[in-house]
Amino acid sequence: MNTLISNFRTEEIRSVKNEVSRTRAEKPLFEAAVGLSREWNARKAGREVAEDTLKKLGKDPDFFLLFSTIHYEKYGGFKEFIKGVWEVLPEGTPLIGGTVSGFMNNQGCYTRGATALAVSYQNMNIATGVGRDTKRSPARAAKDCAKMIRKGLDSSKYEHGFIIDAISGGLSFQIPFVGRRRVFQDIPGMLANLTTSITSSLFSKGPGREEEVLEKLKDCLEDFCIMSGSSMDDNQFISNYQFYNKEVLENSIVCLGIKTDLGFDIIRDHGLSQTKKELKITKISSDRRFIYEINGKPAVQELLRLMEWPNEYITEKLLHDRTLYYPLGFNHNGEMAIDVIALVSGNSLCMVHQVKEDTLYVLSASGRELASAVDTCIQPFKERRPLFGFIYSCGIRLDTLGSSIFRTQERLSEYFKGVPFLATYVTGEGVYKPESSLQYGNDTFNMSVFWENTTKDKKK
Amino acid sequence: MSSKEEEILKVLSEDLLRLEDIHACMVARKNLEGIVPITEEFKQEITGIWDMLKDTMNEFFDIISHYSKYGLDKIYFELGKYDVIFFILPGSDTALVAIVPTLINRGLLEVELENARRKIMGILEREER
Repeated sequence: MNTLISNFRTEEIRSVKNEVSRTRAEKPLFEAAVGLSREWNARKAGREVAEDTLKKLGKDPDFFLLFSTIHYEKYGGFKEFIKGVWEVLPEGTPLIGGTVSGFMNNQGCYTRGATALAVSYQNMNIATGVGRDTKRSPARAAKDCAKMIRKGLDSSKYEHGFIIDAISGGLSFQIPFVGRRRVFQDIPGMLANLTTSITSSLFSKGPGREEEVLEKLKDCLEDFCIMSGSSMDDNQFISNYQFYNKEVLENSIVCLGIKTDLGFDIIRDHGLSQTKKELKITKISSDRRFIYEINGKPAVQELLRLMEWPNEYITEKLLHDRTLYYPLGFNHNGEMAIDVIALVSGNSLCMVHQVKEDTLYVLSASGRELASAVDTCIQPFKERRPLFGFIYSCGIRLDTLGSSIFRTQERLSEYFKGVPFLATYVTGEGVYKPESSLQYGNDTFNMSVFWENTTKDKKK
Repeated sequence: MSSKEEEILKVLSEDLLRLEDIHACMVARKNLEGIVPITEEFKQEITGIWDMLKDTMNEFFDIISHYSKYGLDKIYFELGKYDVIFFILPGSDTALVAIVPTLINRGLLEVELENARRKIMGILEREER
């Protein structure tokens, strides 16, 4: 017996010593990978994107970000897509994501297909969260989601936290007997506002209310950095989806929470320049989305006058073409928040997001200006050795730049030099850092980079 | 049909024609010589104006063959309810051509047209090595 006990203790000691040696000798291994599928069939695409990503990662992931364009809705459906992913992904892998209008990664730029970013790293704790019914109850959805993240990460020994989320973006609504359009010249703004409220309450269509979701999320998770993107389709605003582990959701917020010893930061820019044209809102709806009057005059007429645009510009096509190049901005919390016109109803302008201030500035968005935001975002990271990058950029930029977006991909590839990066195009972007205020709007480029933290580094 | 042409036809049929907003696409030069996949949908949508489209496109192919060597990259024109987009194969008199409705989000489509152009260039260059 004494010999048995003695042998056991010797073995135990040897085992502990081996563990300590291993810990001293091994630096925590970090691996990241980005994968792609261009399959049309939803199930095959899900399988392929997971296979491609995991093959490159070379090990089981600690988390999996998954994004796709809306095409799979008609080529098998997103439930099949997710089933395909889980045929390959190890059980229990934390997964979030959603539908986007396009994406770019180390391999190229795409407006059809699926992509994923997976990371494996020992010094990291992960939690996922979900909140449902964002269009009807944005604050409650955010609270539910935040609670799950807190619970999942409360025992983490790492100080610094980062959230990536996907929130269901706005959906265009159909006015009975009229249809789905962006220009409703025969329908007064107040009636359209009322219709929007009703369709939002009854059918969860209409504005995404993402800014309201984010305000609450930030209140609940104020010690985290947050990077937010609103899910969308291919600019039709008919449907969008969020992915949460094995579920395919609508009208939800899904979050990935990370606590780690890695360094990270988010840089946001838009590159737009302010013109001399200024609009004073003199009458607006209570939800601050429908602008009824500018400078004491009907909003649409006053906008046309200030911009020196003819009445003929208020057509489906020209509204889209013109307003993309002249977004409107307002100063909020020391930053320029950018918004775009969602639709025209009677003589009223409906904005995509809440307009929080009464003075709007007309901004200009040339291709060169849009592209310059990328360089502005890369610059602060130039001295860093990135481990991976994740970007949320506005779908408006993709639609405006078209095939010129390949130049953005080239710029990012030059910076990352083979390190995995993933940029997705969404319909509203939000950034929050504990040392600054929440910024939310459109037409922005938001870049996060993770790096190995040394003792000299301070997390920004 | 050679294997090169079959591969290009596959790019047109599988990558582009399956996109909802592309009514027709082809890799062609003047007089529409080239690879022109014909679908029933294509015929139904634009049969009535096909001859007019062909004649108008031919005018632009003259411009393409003249200016391509100076770096002419893309041409767009709007004809009635349609946009015709030419993504020119660099330095040649040939273009990837797509016919789309006027009200679409062209930016998203352009990304896939560019992907198709690069794939087609890859096929052609591989052939020539």
